[in-house]
Amino acid sequence: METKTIQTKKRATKPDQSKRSFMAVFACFIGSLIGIAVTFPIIGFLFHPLRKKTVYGGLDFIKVGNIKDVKGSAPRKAVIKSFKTDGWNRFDNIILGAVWLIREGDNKIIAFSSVCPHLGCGIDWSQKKEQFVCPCHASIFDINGHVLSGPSPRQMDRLDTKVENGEILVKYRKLRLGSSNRIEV
Amino acid sequence: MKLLITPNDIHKWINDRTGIDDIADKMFNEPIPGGSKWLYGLGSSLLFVISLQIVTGIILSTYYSPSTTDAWGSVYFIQEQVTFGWFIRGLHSIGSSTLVVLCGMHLFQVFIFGAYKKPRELNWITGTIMMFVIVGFGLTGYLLPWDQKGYWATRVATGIMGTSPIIGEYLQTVIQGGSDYGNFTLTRFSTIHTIILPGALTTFIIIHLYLFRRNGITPSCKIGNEELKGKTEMFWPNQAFKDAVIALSIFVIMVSIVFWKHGTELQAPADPSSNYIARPEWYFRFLFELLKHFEGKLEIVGTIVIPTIGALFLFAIPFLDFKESRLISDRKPFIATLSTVICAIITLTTISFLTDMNDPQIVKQREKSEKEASTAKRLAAKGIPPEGGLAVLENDPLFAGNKLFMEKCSVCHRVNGKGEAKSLDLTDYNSREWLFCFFKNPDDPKYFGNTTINIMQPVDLPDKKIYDIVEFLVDQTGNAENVDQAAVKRGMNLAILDDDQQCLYCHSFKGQGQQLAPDLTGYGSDRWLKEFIKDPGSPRFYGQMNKMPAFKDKLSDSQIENVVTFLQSLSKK
Repeated sequence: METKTIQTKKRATKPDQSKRSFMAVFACFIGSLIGIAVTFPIIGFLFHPLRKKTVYGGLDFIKVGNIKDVKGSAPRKAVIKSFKTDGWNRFDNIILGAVWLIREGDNKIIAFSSVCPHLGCGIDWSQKKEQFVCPCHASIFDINGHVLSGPSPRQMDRLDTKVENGEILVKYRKLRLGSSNRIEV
Repeated sequence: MKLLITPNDIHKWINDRTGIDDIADKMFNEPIPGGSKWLYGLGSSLLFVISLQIVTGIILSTYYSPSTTDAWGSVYFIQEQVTFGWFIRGLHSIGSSTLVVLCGMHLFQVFIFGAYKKPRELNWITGTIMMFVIVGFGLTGYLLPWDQKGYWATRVATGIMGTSPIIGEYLQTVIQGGSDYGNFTLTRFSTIHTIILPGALTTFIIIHLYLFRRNGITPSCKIGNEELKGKTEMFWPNQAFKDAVIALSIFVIMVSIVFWKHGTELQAPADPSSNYIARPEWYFRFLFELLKHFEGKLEIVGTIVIPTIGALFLFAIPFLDFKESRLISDRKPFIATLSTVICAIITLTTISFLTDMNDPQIVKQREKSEKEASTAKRLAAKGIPPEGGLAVLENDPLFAGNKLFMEKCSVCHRVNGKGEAKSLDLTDYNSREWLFCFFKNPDDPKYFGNTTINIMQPVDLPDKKIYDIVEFLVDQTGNAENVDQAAVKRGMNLAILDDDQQCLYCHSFKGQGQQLAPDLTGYGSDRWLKEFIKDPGSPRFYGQMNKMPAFKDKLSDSQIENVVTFLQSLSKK
């Protein structure tokens, strides 16, 4: 094979050589042309979620329950249900997540997202220790959401709330994980 | 000391460990006896389009979801929402047709060259297997969007499978993943299309290429060996250049078609209740036409027996035409047989398309399904309910309005015989006929008869004049066609401008008159109806006479708009 190739190359005259190199360059050029023509749309296609929101929902205040049901000093978990657009789907009433509600005074409620700011596990309340505990990497927070120990880079995410006619409303938000600042995703 | 690592160093490092230069040398420096030829590009172009299919297929699978509730939605999303989605999907779709065309051309060229003769029988057989694999891609891929077209065509295909003797029923159940079409049909078709067939195709491509390189290219049989050797060229760059030009031409044609059709069509979501006229993809049309000519017990001849004989014949060609000579003149019977088969395929395909084109019912149904497809896509833009693609109809304001009306309004109002007759019957609401009869007898049970409202007096005028007033009101709705402006003027004179101004004793119009009964400014228009439904007890409408609940807190604005859409549709029936 090796010798054959050399023989053919030797036989090639000068104009033949330039024709050969023209063909080689042109073949490579066509290859790159097709490559670019396909790659460009593919990048647009794959990176579409960077251009447009594909998953979103529940942007307004969402009803999560009645203030009468949040009694005493212990936090109470409430499920956030609202509309959601998920790719091609539209859900009118679907679970988006959960919040911890703490009563503060007659007509005031504090809400913490149950998502751990570290890596997104669901934070639990330990009644015995009176602390919030993340079951994944043992971040521990006090009842005000401040980090007591563990890897969480920031305190628990407090969400805007209001109370109207006894109904608790929460503005549910998802925030970027692993960052010491609150950044909406 | 050298600090910088040059590309040459990296190349050398890799080559020392992999021998990549030898591999490249073997791949590219293949001598082609007799020189490079444009016709040899057919095989390479197949490889090119297959690569395109693999790339676009993988990319599409990042959005596609194989389930009966999600498949249509995800394909809709690719087609209509994702950046360049229509392009990638269109390229993949036209790619399948291109593959079938190139396969046919490659097969025909190999056949004419007699390139299947000893020692190349297995080249032919692996090639034929790959052709069936490609057809399998087409068959399974057609169903994946779960639209009307794919759903019904594939039902026919699996139905045919079910009629095959002995194993048919079992085979069909296994392929479908159940006794009927469902989620498992899609998961299975998707697995076959994206894992099993690509695996099979890749394996056979490797074998085919290995055999091709082992047995070499089949040069023209008319030239002597010495002459062939003298004309030898290398694959790189002579043949590669020709292959590249062919690939580019094919690509340009494919892309042009994709732009021209803006991707590829997506029909309405699969509807098992519809009477969609099932038609397979064009390359199966000859089989479809064939089966029409065999009825009853003979059907199996058209669906299974003849196609099987055809397939076996293809595989057997190298063994039937086994003599050494590759000259066409020495192989007349075989050339004649294959040419006949090709002519038959072309004829059957043409007949099939011509029959459809000349059947007014099919043409009409096509138009209807086009309309349904665009409606479904328009409604899907609002998001597809979790019940799946077919549920997009619930996004239709008319559909949603009808549903809301039945839930909220039919406890008092009646439409087309449905609902309670406690208040106005809204059948044909605000049509000319409805308004005319109302003026004749407002206290009819169809109108205010069953309500506590009784202040409206029958209009004591000749019918012609009543129709003029009707025309005036119809004009106010902004919802009627062919409004007679002269009649409107006469009607307005009678109702509003005359010395009498009888209507304005109770009604108001543009600030004039009384507020005892509903305002006639823009009567029955979208805005009027919306505000009325929100608060019918407002002084603008029925004031203290009103018994209808206000819906401003019971229904959202968009819900009320849907009800209005429904009400406005009633006059048009």
